[in-house]
Amino acid sequence: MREKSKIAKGPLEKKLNRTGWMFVSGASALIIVFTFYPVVDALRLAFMSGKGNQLSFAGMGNFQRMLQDETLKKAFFNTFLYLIIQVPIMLILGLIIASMLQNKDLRFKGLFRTAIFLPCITSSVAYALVLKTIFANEGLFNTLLTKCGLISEPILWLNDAFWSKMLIIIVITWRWTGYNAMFYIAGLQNIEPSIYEAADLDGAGSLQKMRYITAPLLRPVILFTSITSTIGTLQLFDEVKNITNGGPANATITISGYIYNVCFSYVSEFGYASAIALVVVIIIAILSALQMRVGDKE
Amino acid sequence: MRIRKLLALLLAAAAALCLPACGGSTSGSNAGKTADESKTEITAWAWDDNFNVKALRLAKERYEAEHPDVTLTVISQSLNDVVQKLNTAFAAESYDGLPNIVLIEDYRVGGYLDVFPGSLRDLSSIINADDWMPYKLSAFTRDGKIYGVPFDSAVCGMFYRVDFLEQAGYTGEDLNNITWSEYIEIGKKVKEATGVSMLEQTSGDLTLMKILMQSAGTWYVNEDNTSLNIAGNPVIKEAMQVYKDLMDAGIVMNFPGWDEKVRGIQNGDLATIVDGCWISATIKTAEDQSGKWALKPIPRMDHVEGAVNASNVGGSSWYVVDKVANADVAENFLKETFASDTGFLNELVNEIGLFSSHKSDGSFTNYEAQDAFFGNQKIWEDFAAWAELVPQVPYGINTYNIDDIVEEELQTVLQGGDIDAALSAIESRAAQIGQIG
Amino acid sequence: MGKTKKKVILAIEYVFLCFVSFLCAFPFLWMIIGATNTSSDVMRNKMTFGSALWNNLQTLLQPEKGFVTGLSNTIITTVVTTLLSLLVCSLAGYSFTMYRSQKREKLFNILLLTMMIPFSSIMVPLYRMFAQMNKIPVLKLVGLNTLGAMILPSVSTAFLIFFFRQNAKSFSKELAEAARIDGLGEWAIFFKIFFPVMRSTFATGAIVSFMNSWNNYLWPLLVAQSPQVRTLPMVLSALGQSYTADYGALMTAIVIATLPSALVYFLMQKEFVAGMTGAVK
Repeated sequence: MREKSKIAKGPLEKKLNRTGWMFVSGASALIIVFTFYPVVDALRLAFMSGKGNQLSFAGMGNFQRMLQDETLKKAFFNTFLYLIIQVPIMLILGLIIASMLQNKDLRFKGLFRTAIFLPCITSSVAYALVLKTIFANEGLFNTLLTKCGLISEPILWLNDAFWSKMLIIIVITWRWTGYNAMFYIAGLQNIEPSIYEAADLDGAGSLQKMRYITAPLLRPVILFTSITSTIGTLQLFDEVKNITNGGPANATITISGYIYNVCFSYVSEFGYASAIALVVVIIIAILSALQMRVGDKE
Repeated sequence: MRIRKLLALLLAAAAALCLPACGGSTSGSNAGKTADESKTEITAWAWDDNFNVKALRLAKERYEAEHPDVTLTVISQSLNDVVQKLNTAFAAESYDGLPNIVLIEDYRVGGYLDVFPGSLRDLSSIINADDWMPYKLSAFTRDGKIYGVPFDSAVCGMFYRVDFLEQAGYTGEDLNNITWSEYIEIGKKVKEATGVSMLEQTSGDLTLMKILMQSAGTWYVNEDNTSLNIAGNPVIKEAMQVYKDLMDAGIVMNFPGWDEKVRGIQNGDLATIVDGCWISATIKTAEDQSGKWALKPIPRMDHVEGAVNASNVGGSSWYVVDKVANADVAENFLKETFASDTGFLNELVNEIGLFSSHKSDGSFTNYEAQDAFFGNQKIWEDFAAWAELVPQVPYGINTYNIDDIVEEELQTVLQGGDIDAALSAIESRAAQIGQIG
Repeated sequence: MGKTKKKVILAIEYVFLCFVSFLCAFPFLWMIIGATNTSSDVMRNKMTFGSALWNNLQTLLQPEKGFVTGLSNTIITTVVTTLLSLLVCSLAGYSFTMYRSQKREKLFNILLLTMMIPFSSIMVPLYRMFAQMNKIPVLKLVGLNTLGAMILPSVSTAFLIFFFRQNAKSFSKELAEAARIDGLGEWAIFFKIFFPVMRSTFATGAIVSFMNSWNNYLWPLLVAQSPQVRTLPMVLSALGQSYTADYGALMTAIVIATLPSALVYFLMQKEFVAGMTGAVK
């Protein structure tokens, strides 16, 4: 038997290798055509300027324009504000929820888990429109706060530069916390309960357990969720488009929203939009590298 | 097992839906209801069910009665969708799925005409320039060729609540041909006496700025339709000041969107509405306020020479997308309806409150109708008279893009920033917008 | 740790989780109530069930609202995308784990990089590419303004490949080896052994792909030119944006649009949690 397999190994391995390539070919080809090629094309377009299809080579013109573009600066500022405030809140909340659901004395776990994951089944446009009605000036939320005596004037969630940003943050947190909590719940299930039992015996409190057991063991999952959330926030579009449409006075506009406007809402400027897109890719690459650095260090 | 069942279910559902829907998805522009082979199908897009879509449906009835071999499919899309679809389709030179006839705002059409030449058909042969107000035609005339058929023109007026004004001690006479500073003074009194706001401001909507600019015959660009005319433009400067004075006076109510604005009107939150004539239809939805409203000319800018008590805001026109099959039929449709049928246009005055910017030639008998809602005032006769006064301005191609910049800079002015600096900032930012070619 | 302390913690956890669950679930209650009320009742924040559901449905079913078209387009694109996506990505993920080779490992790392590229960065060139395809006879079938154009770019995703590659690690190689000795071909091993054994992985993959595709908004928005190819999110957005939005009908539309994802999730919930657990190992 042994001899046989040895003889067969050469051709078999070749055959398996061929199958291996065959199996990956479909997925790879699709990604190359529909992601890599566009990236390369964006690289080319980023150095062109003009309207519609009347494009001409512009050198660094688009990048110089970006430096002076106040709306773009606003879009970057808003996007990073969402990133810096919303992502940590969401991830920490997700972690807290997940670790609470680990408590073996807790009942109705399935029910809680289902409820918390519920927002993830809604489409971005759908939940944006629903929450928009709740947060309307004379909407349910303002009415409730007024009745409770917490505010005397309705909060202008859609009119005010500050509150409209807060609304966007609230809305995305609602939608994505459960999603991230799911990853943590799954990750926690891979941690041996005996580790916690040992910690209990040593008299560790829940915060200590979080700090010394949960966080380190979940590190890869946390890293993964923080990278995907970062990317998700950097391409935020649907919610803002359907709740505030970037307003008031571009107070909530995101980078994706601005790229969309430049291309499809004003008279199309594909070159400039591509230049912005390119900068976003570079920023994400840097951020992800940083996150991995930090993630690996601890 | 569950998965397999679910997959089977999904597949079955997909298969059931696939047949009709796939058919629709590939048949392109003329996909519509099943019709006789012999019928020519054309499609038209518009965006307001109670206004321009309704007008299309009425035109369809008339035209199809005369031409039994033609079917017009009317499709209602949101304005944003229409804009985005045209932008994407023209840029891609992909005309599948585009309609034959499309309604485009006058502020926006310049972009399509200049950036995507050849997309929209030259309609000079079906339109008689002498029949229409010149300020309307200029938006879509290039090198003497006329590319559109006027639909509505939004001559502006000041609608006001007679009862609120009376409570503050004003009669209609006091509101005739006033200036903005007089308007603000009246507004303060009205607010004091009734607690009601004089005016509204909807976020993301620079209606007032555009009313002010056109009332003084200026725009963001010069006559050449390209070079900017913002920094140091005395009209825009004063317009900013008017905005600031209005806000400082505390007589403006803010609405986050169109919906809230409509509800505000219906709730009786506003003492006046300065807007295009089409807003009358919205005002009239508040049936309980019948008889309480009346109409006067808009206020005039105080310190600008040549400023008049008349303006125009928005307005749209019909266009034929040249590369979509059956463009000839579409052209003929427009020719026989909106371009020449004054009887039909006169009927639309009653049906939808249309002011078409067609010169009065005796056929618009409905302009003379008294409207009980507006205290038996002949509002359309007034609008027609004011339309003669509206200055002609070049809209350029970037109005909405510049609007967004103006809205941002306006915020700094409202917070006490210097207006001249704001105007320079707007001009330098607008100068960065890409040029054609 | 004292028993009382434990109880206090448990109580806090109950309160917190109940509160969070309520916040998460409330908008669903709100939209279901809204679906039974008239537009003006919704705007008046009416919190009780009304009797306008039937009227709202009738409004939605008017052909010019495009709701039915949108629903069927979304079902088609979602089902096709999910099935293709599962097939293509699971094959790739399986291969990356089962037929290890240095070169493929490199390819995998390169593919993984695409997770970092936001869609908005490639949408312009991608759009122009599909516009070019419209000029070529055969490719026109998947060019702009077709459902195919909505499906193609979302079939293969680095996330799903990564997901299947991770999960395939728990699939026993001996099983594949044994099957090979029994004379099964590689395709047969994949379909007859890997697929049934890794059911929960496929279920999770299906949920992820289904939801992504069901909710996809920006790309279909760019691709769809005629109303006949609009998808559900576009229809919802248009309902919310129209000059005189009918909020009752909008809520009804949203409830209907949410039902399929809810159904898929609830039916596959067990597999989903199991699949996720495998992915984060």
